[in-house]
Amino acid sequence: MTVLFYIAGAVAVIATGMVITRRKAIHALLYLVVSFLALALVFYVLGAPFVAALEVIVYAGAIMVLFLFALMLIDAGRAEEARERDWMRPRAWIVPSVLSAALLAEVVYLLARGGVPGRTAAGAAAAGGAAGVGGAAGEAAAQVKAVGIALFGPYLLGVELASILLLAGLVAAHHLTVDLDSEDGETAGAADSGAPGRTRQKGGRP
Amino acid sequence: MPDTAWHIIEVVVMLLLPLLMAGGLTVVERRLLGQLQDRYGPNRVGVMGEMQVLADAVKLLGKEDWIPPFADRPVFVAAPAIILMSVLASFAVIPLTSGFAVADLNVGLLFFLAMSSLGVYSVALAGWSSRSKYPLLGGLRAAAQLLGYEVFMGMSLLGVVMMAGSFDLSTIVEGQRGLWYVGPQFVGFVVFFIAGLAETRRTPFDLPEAESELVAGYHAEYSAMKFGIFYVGEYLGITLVSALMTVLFFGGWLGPILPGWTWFLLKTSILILVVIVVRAALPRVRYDQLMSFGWKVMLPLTLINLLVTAAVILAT
Amino acid sequence: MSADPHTDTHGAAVDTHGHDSHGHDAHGNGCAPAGPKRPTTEELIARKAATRQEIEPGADLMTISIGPQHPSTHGVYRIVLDLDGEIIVDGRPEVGNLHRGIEKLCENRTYHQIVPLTDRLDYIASFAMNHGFCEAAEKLMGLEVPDRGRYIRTIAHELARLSNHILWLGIHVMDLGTQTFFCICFRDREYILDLWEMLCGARLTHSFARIGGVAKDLPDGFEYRCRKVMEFLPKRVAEYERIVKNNRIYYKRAKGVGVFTAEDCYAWRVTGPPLRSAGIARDLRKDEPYAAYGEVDFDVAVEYNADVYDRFLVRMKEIRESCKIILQCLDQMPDGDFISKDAGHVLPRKSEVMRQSGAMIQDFNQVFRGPQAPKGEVYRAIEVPKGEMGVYIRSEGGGKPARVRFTTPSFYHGQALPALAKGEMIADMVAIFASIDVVLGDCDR
Repeated sequence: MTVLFYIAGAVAVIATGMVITRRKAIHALLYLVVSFLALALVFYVLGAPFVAALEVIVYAGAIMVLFLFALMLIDAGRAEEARERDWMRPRAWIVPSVLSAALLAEVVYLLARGGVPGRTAAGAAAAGGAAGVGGAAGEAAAQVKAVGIALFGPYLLGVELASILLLAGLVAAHHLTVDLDSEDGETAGAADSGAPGRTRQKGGRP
Repeated sequence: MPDTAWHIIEVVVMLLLPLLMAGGLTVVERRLLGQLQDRYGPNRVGVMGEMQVLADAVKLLGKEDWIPPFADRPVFVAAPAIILMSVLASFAVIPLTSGFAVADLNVGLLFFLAMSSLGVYSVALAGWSSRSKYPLLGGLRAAAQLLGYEVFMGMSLLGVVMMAGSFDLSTIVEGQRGLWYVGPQFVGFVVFFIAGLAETRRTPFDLPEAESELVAGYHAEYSAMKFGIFYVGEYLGITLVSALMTVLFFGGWLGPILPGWTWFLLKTSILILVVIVVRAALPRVRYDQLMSFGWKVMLPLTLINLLVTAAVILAT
Repeated sequence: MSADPHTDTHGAAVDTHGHDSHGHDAHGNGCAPAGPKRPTTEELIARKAATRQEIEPGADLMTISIGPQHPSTHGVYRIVLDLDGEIIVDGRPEVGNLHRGIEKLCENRTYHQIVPLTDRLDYIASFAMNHGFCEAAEKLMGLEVPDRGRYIRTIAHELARLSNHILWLGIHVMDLGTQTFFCICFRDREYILDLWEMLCGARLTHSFARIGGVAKDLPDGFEYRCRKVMEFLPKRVAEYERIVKNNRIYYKRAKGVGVFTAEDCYAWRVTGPPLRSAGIARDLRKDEPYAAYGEVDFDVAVEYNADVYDRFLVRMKEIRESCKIILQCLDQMPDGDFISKDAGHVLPRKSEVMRQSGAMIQDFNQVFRGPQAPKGEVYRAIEVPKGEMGVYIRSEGGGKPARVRFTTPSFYHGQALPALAKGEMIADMVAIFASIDVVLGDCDR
């Protein structure tokens, strides 16, 4: 299990590295998906299958598809690629590299000391069930419940605030994309024809 | 050690069975459509045309595997693989009979949803990487359609999950002793059936490949076995959705007298036939109708279903 | 089980059917005076504006070429569309991919030889094309067609209409995604084709009309079988309507789509069922009767909503009317010649050519010199299944025309497609294109 954890972790790191170095946006996006999948595996190995599944469904499966959708609509051509190449000059790498190197050093130091709480949990999960899968079975159902209770118990305020934020975002998006004149026309048209009026197309237009 | 051997048997069966069913399904569908449409369908290869699938496979393998020079090569090649892998991986959590599943995952249902959400990439990327207009339109349609219907698909299943109290497919089947969930969860079943049709891109939701508008949609530029993989992927998807409906709503392997796996296969086959008959009966919806139907009819329906189910469970 | 999602909305669908269609019962004659509420022109224009999306100028457009090899262009029609997302901003139709120079060929043929060429115009309803040309040639030569010939022509013309409309229905619905219905339509079209096979031996390109009449008399047993089919077809039409109208998806795809008001039709010279579905009861069979149309009783099918759905209704009514016309013709069928006796303009019967010297000389003259037409020019328009077909002939004497010009409905319908589809979605374009019934042989000539 520990081996799996490190392999998945390595894949996640490498894929994320590829994300920032790819010139084509779609390729970068695909690497990001791979990175999410690796991350999901990491969660799974750490004994959190529910979180792993959510990671795949929500991030890899939904949000990234939306990104893909947007990218397909924009269709960054060669000009975009050239610009990306421009940004990828070695000089641009120096500062981010130094910063991430510092972070990396910290992580390595912590790992070497063996004092990461997560690692002991991973070890426990790995040790808990030789079958791994079966071992996590019992706790997962409880886990889902626990997540639910946590979200709607102590963190209720946070959840509600987040949903208000999302709602505000939704209203703003609607306001930005639908111009009000045509909406009036639509309702008038639907009213007088009596036939099932055509609704405004969603998502098909940028 | 026998444990490992048993596990290998499980893996092989769950890998080959869906593939065989999907292969057979290509012929069954064409024959059945033929019968429904007052014509024969393929009836030349083999006794009743059942070997047509082999003939098709040989033909597809023999064709030139052409990758358009303007296509985005790596993505173009990867796209068909994604659909096959995501669908085949989903079969891992399907319990064929009691205790017979590759991975008796406690979040089995979520695993299926995760895999089906990855299937979107295949279609959308196929459309994008072809760098051609019809496939692009097909890919765009697919991305919006699959993404939207995934939402209802997941939510329609939550009623079942509430009743069974588990994401584990085996537990869900065991929970249906006495009464199949199709009764209490009828709305959920209907929504799941429709969403399943949309997820597998079947008529009336075959917009991504609408042949009368977009010629072949997202796989217009694909040829030879890459096209074949999309084709098989579609049938695998139908098999998967039918198998899942069997597990979730029709009591999986439960049934009298006969061994469990026969019941499972029987129920799955019947559901597959229903899917084919739907194709024979319905025209295709329009893109905006698809979307408004999803968000304005299906979503409220699933939400109400969830509320009512939750209320009933709380009350009892 | 699969229909379940639609049942909850189904009530509404049935309601709408109830009040906007009167062809619901199997034998409805389709022209009940107290019918649906008729929309005014203003309402239609408002409806048209409501269903079509306005396009912001400067939007990022995608140009896509549909056709000439595309499954739903019904041949080699090509249209270059500017799309904004899936919405059609503009379109430029391109015709001529099936151009065979038929009009030019006509200048080197005798009038008799032109008849088979006209088969290749609208090959779905080829007799209608034969008929149109013969009517024009007869007008030029001042020929009278004997009564029996006129009645047989009427039957044949209506058979052509039936086969055209049934085929149209199948293809129209198939363009919306249902294969099964296509097969049902082909099954029933087969009965019509069998009748054609009895009548003239051919199933597609009939060449059945002759200048001065028709090629053959009705064969033995034709009347019996024809009656059977005509009594049975209205039931089938009722079945079609039941299948198609009760289909919620079809209804949503067709209702209110591709509204084309009478003014638009006039502007683009759109005739036939699309014009009649816009509330204009123009039908040359009624307005300028030819053949035996003046002597039979039938109604002009009219609908008022000018959309794809109403074009479907109009055609269904026309199938019923055609059955009525054919049955009446069979009832009233006069005795006598089926082709004129005019030796100067008409081909003799083959059976007589070998036996009678007069007929032999006539045959020689007709085949080698052609019917001697006077100098002058004529224009004759008839109502073919797709709309109005006009034939213009300019003659400078002799057996060959100096110039022949066909104005065929498909050409005008095809050019109106951008106007019809502008603002609609690409999926609607397919439905609209099918609803105006274009055949490329007819369009490109």
